[in-house]
Amino acid sequence: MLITPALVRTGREFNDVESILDFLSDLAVKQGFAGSKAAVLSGFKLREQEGTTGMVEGFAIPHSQSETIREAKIAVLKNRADRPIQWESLDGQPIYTVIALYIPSVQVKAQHLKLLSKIAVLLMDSEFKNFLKTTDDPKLIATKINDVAGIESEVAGGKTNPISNERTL
Amino acid sequence: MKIVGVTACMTGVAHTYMAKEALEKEARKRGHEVKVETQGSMGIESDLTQSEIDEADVVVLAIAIEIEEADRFDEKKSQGKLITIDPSILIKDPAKIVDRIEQL
Repeated sequence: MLITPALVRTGREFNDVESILDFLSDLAVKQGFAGSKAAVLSGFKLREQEGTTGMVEGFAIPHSQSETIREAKIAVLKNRADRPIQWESLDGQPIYTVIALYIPSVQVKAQHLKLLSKIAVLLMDSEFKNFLKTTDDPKLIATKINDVAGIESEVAGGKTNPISNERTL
Repeated sequence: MKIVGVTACMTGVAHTYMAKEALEKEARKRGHEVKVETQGSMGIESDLTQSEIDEADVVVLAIAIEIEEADRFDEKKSQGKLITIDPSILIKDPAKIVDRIEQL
């Protein structure tokens, strides 16, 4: 699964990029899909140095690619609506929602990278953006992302939903 | 008009594909024909053939890294029919870039 409810944290009070990247790196290790927090963190930082991943309309899409990451994963962090994050963005607006991409760098199936790309592209869909802006329930967010990525969802108490490759937003 | 492009970013997972989507969406909205090759972590996809490039009115390279087979676009470049920008510029404001394309 690309994302679990444990990888969705809403109502947060982050102030800046550094604290978020630190949290995201720690999360990857605690959730068991990365070995080294330092390596994940350096992946995120390296990417930001190449150019900010702060996009438009309050979204940022940091990514870390590292051999310490064992599986392609996504995490979502949402700050409280009254807590803008200082993060350089393409439209100069503060960031409220962070979609992090964890990218394994060795021997990964292209299909898994494709799922990450699919979610990145969805961030340009206004319906999907509105969903993320207005939804705070981690289960709903995780289910939605897995659904749109076409992945079987098992977050609802172990129940499985049919795979929905053709489901649109 | 006919527009072709190539997108490529450092990691090759996010911006490459977002920039493709941005260009295709805006160009199609305005009734242009568009094809965008991606050079990302999944390799080269939607490869542009030389004849597709030759037939295009404008070439857009939304790239943050050096791309493979860049010499395919030499002729368009010498004709002044090539725009090179960072992928994030295209993601931020595709309308502005397509305006530029239409004015070439």
